[in-house]
Amino acid sequence: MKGLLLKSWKNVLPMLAYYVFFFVVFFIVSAVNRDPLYFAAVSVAFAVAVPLAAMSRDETDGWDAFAVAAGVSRGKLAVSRYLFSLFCIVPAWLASVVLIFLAEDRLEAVATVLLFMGAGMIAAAVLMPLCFRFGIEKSRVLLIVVLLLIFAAAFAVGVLLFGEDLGVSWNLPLFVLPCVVLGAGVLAVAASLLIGIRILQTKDL
Amino acid sequence: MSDNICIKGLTKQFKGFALQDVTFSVPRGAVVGFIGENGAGKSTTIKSILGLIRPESGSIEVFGKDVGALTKEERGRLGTVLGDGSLPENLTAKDMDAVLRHIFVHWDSSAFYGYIDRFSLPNDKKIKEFSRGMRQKFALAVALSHGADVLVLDEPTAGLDPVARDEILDILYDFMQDERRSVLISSHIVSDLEKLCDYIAFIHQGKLILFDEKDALYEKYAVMRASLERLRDYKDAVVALHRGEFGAGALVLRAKLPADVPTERAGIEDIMLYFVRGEKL
Repeated sequence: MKGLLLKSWKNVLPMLAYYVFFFVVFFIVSAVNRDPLYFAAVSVAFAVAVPLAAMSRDETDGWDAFAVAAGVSRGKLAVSRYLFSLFCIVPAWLASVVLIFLAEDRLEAVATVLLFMGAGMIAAAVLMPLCFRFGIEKSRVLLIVVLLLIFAAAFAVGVLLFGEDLGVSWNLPLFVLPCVVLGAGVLAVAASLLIGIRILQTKDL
Repeated sequence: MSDNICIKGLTKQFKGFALQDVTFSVPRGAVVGFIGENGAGKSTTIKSILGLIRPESGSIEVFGKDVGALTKEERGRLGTVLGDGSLPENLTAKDMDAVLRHIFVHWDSSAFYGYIDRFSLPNDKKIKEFSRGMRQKFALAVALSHGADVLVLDEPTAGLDPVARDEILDILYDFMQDERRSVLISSHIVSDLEKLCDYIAFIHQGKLILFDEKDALYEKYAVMRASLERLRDYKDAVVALHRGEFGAGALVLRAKLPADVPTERAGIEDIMLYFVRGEKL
């Protein structure tokens, strides 16, 4: 596992400067505005973009074939991708915690950060099986389609629960929506991991 | 002589292509050359041996064990060079050493750097900056640095100049000094295989056409050049023929020809070409 993670890390290293740049810019924007919203929203992109870059590199290199031929189990290969995504997103989450302490309204800041943590997990959970099944190029498009479908489904559920005037939902206790999204994110990652392993185990490399 | 790799009845169906009932082995102490035109099924067979694709039927045993049941340590005894490189291009030799020591149970850094030096490869240059020949040598250095007893090489000399090809063949000669070892090597460059191989496996349109010792093939087949009428006199001996402007050439079975009939030695390339492009008499 260590070798797989190290390889992914070294593979994205040349691209890291761009991510660090966005990371710093949006951190400063959030810090100056005393609102973690901007940075937390961008952290969703980190959850997707960095692992996508690493997997894209692997696909071009044909790394999976080499790794499996070398004796790395397909399950381990799949888990390493999820772990790498986690390592990519954790620094953003830690930075978000710092932004909570700088925020004007800390409770609202916590809710915002939790909401986008969940959103990031959902995005990563959707991305992985798509990449395993369809490859990186198709998955870039499919990810947008699937996330739009999820957003539309969530909106429809909201309408069903709260009526057409969705503004009512904002009268919910502050932490309801963030906790729902975070919970959905955790469940999505768990389900995605099982599906991802299954896909890689049956895939011809 | 026992087999390091044993393939029986390998079948795999793709859209528009099928590997059909492929059976051959890679004996211990032997180099098996795997030949066939593009799309004949060489890479599919090799990927099956490495557990990268799952055949619909048949069995593949490596070191006497089903390939799916090999432990990580046993897999480390298989060194591979895959046709498309399959190594992370953003990494340097140093990076690869750091990564692969966590992947192979018996990774030998000193052996790896020994090969890197021997092949005059740079330590700090990214793989993507390597030439095709350097990449192939690098892949071979990796394959030779984790205690492999069997090398499975998919087109390791493709796209290389004769000097680089010769260097790679030298490395393989060295590897084969230990007679417990084996090499399965696929290549389009039949002259390379003729120098190196003890056995030839020839695949065409997903079917194994022949698998035999190289010397046995030389004894078994010959090329006979004559008119069509004369070739018809030896119909039983003719395997395949190729019509030319001034007569015809045929791949014939020496055993079925009278000893006084003049023939030429059939090289592996001749045998392959007659089987692929030749017609029946």
